[in-house]
Amino acid sequence: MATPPVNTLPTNLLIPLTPELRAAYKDLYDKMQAQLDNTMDLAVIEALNVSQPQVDEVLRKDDLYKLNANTAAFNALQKQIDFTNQGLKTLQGQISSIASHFTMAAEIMAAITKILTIVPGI
Amino acid sequence: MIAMSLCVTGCQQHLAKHAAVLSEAIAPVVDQSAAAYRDAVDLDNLRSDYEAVVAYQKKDSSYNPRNVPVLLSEGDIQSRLAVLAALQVYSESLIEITKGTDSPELDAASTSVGNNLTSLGNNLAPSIEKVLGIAAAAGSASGTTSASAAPVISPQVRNGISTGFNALGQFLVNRVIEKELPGKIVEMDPHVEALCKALSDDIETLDALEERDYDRILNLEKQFILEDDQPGSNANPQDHRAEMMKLPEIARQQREANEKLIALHEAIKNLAMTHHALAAEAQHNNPESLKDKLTELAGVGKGLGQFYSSLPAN
Repeated sequence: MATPPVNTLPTNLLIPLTPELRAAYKDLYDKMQAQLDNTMDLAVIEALNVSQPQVDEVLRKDDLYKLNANTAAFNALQKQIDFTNQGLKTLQGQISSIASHFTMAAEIMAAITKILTIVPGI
Repeated sequence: MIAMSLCVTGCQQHLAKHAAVLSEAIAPVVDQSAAAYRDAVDLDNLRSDYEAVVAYQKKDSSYNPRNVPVLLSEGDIQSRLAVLAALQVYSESLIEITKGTDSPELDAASTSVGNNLTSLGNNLAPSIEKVLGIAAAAGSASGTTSASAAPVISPQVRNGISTGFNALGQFLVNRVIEKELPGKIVEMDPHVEALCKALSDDIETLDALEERDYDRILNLEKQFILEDDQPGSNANPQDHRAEMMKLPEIARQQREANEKLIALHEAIKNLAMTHHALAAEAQHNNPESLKDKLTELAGVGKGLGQFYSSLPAN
């Protein structure tokens, strides 16, 4: 079995990975996984179960970086959507006020009518 | 006035339909996203449990279960779910606003205006007649009293007034909506797009992480099973078989998890497109057939007719 040269991987990796570097690591990972899927040789499996996690760790760091960066993006979006929701609440208030203006007009008319009823001679 | 109200209301009915579709598009994204984040964290925790076995087998003194990192903290998950909850509030507000003319409050207010204006007119008329001397003259000529005279404003006229006020109310509501709402929807579109992109990126990352988590679990299970096969391992044959039988189940779970993420990815894409369509409708960028418009206008006219019919005849 040709064990991939994990010990030749660069030690100081810049995260996030460039798309090319990520693709290279993923390719290496997939080749190791293909070997693991196609063998029942315990020695090979034990060796790959030591080296593959090192490749996985690089990919994992890149993934965790992306998830963390997205948390910041979600927090920024929350503010934007809350702002729009506040505007919609104001709009709902404007719409409700139209019906309430009509109700107020009706109440004024009722009050005038009452005065006319009480004081018919006006 | 009624014609203008009909025209504006027709556009608004389209917006209402799009707002309802948007609400339907958001629901699966909210539900499935919440499940996807929790599933990914659970799977990652399971993998950590397997790694504990490896660490102890290797007698790795640096291993401390208290220092095992979690994939996403509860705070990270909550910041994602809170945005989705805010999006649901947005969608519900759109539905409420776009059905603005279909308002029981407006119906009640216009009926009240019609009734009170009628009472006012009927009470005010005799006073005006008296002041102008019209009733007195008529009464002295005919010898009748004004008490038996028919009301100045009949029930039919009263209902016409109420309907007119209802149309005026609808027009005013529509005018507010037409002036304010499209701008807010269009303004929201890039934020929804950014949200969908962030969600899609998350799902892509979780998919990659889950694939490797499942790989690792299967790889370690395979190693443990083969180690138990070694001479002198003294593994219980029944437990050994049970371990082997776990493998297909883990593979099935991996497939199901992957399918769920693919479905969620589709739901996110659909959400972005649905909001784009809503924004296009808000800007009247969608070509509509005249027939559709006329059908809508007829619907609105029918609505006013129904309001008129609901008013009492006496």
